[in-house]
Amino acid sequence: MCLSKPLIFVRSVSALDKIKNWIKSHIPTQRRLVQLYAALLYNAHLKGYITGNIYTGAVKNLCVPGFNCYSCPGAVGACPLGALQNAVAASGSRAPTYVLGVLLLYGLIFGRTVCGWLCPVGLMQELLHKIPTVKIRKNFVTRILSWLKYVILAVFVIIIPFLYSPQSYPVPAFCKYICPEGTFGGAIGLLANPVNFDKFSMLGILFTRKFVIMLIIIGLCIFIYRAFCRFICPLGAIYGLFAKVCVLGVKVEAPKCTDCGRCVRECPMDIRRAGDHECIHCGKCIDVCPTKAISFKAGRIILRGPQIDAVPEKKRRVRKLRLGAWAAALVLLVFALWFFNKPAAAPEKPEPAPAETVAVSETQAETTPETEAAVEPAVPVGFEAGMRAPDFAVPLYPELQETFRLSDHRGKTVVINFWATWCTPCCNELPHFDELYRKYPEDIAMIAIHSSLVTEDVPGYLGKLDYRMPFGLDESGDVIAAFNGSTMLPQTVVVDANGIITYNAVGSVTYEKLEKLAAEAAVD
Amino acid sequence: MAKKGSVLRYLISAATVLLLLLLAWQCLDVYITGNRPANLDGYGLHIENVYRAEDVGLRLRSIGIWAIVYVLLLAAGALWLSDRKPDLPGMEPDNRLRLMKKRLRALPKEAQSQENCRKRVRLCALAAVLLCAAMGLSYLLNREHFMSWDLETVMGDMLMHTVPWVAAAFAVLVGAAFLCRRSMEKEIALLKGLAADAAPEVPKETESLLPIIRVCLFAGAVVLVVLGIRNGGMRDVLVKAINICTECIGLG
Repeated sequence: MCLSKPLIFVRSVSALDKIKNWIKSHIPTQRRLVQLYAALLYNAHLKGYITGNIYTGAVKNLCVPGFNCYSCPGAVGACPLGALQNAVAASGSRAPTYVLGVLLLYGLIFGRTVCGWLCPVGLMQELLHKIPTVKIRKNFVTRILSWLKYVILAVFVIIIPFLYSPQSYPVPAFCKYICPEGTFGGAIGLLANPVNFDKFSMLGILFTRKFVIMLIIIGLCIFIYRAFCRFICPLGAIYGLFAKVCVLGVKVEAPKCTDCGRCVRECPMDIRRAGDHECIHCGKCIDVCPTKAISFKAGRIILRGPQIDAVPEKKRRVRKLRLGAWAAALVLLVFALWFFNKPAAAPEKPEPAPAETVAVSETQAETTPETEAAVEPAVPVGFEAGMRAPDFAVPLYPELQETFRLSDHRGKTVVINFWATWCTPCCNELPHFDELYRKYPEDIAMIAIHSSLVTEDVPGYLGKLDYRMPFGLDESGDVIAAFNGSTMLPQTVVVDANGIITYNAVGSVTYEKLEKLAAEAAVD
Repeated sequence: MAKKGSVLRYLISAATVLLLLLLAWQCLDVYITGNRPANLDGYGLHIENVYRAEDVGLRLRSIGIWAIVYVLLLAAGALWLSDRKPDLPGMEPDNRLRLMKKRLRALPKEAQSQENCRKRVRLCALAAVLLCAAMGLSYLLNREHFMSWDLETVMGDMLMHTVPWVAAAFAVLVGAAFLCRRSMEKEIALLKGLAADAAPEVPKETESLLPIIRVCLFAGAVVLVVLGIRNGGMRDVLVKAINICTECIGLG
């Protein structure tokens, strides 16, 4: 007589098996691990999420291959698409050879392997698609819609920035109107930190629109596999142009291919054949090809394919190479995490500033005499509203011989604008400042101070436009730092006739707002 | 069991759409509330900021319960619904037709007429798409339309003048693809049952210029990068990357 197992025991075993099977079937694949690695490497500046600041080191000279907003607190490299739009926008003064060369290099080496293996946005789309909803499969309509990304590339990334380049007015149209990564990684990434809660005042119609667009794209990605990648992403469109010449990726041996179409059926992307411009080289087709014609190659070297799997020695060799590559990659990741998150060297304690002068631009430091300040000594010097504005002196364009000194304009309302030629909202609002300056020349002193970076084009830029207000140069960056400015432009400061700051904020201003601020400062 | 699974899938789909709509509505409501006349002063400026951290926090907390319900539904879906592989679609008609034609020496007349019909459809579609492209580009490449710095108006006008042409071009392509599929299916039906009278041709491996093209492109890329470093292009990338592009992330 055999004893039957207690029912509870049978049920719990079955549930345990189910959990075990679930875990087994969800072990990340090699590709998933590479995607996670790339996402972490591109965003290795983890302390940025804690401090609420972006990384500003020299490594940002380099573009990462995949889609990653450089305004994200974690980003350590430049976004290739953002860099391309800005390069096209600046093509009036400088040929965009650097960015084009970098894209050509990435396209030639990786092609759309970037999309399948090295793009954080691709990873996010695949994870979103795992949400168990009804799915919309690919069909002939989605294949036609996949050409939409080329239209977006042509219009938003190339044509619009190019059309505004003669006016020296940078318009990164895709970033500004469509890009969901900027909204998610940049805006939400920064604003989620309490340190940046004051930036909520900058949100308006632009954020509202971009947020809704981001939600639509998220929804599409949940229901349609890689919807952003297939229909919208201009970077995928660029890399797709290199499908036939890229070194790394899925390759089909033509003599073995019988056109059975199984690879096309298996593939979730809108390919016509494996390895074409829609293929993201994920390798799902390799195992289903009945004639073993498909493999993942780097040039002539087969990295994955039936030719490797069939020969145990080759398989072992490739496995060793893979382990070696992972070891090197992990060392690089650990180094990157240490490098981008090491504590910054503590700045030398500055000598207490004299009461009158805090920030003087380098070119005038030796020649400009200090002045007496005639304000209440009880009001501390600082950058917040209600504090005494730190005195400064900046050389004036075009010759940089004359100087604008804040203390020379005591008795008048002073409006200070920090701007840069490469900053679109800065260029957009300069006419409002100039209009205010022309309307109240006796009552308002004004200075638009260009930041220290990329200044050679400023005289040319100003020469094209008929502004009357004075423009200065903050060569050392000390002046903007004295007003607590840093990586965000434009910044506007209003100082009343007694030298007290009444307004200091980052963000665009309209003419009406400027007039109101000036009126409030005059009343004070 | 399968029926319960599909019910859960539809439930999660509906919940996903609802949650996304809820988030979008909250965002729109914040914007609309912030722009009501009571919040505007004599200058037309906002008395209180449209978005405030406390308000946004409150609104997120108010939908928190729905987010928790959604997460529970997802957890149920993840455990209950197996990761079943979706049924593969059938073979594409053009693939099937290509395979069938490989095994025939000559096409029957009816099949040939279907081919000719598809050629005409494609030509008409191409002509229509080129016309739409020309109309769209005639607006885009006219510099006069892109002189103003009021980008909201410029972009609005641009979308109004180009989106209809883009939509028309895609509609033509979808229509043409649909007609071609129907024609291919008819041709497949005609060719079915015909005995194969030719061995499929095996394409020969040919020497390609690919290595030379790759080397030339690589050399070109290196030259462009070096030129870009020399002319300050790399520094431009750095300058943009280390300063927050406020408008790019929706601030401003």
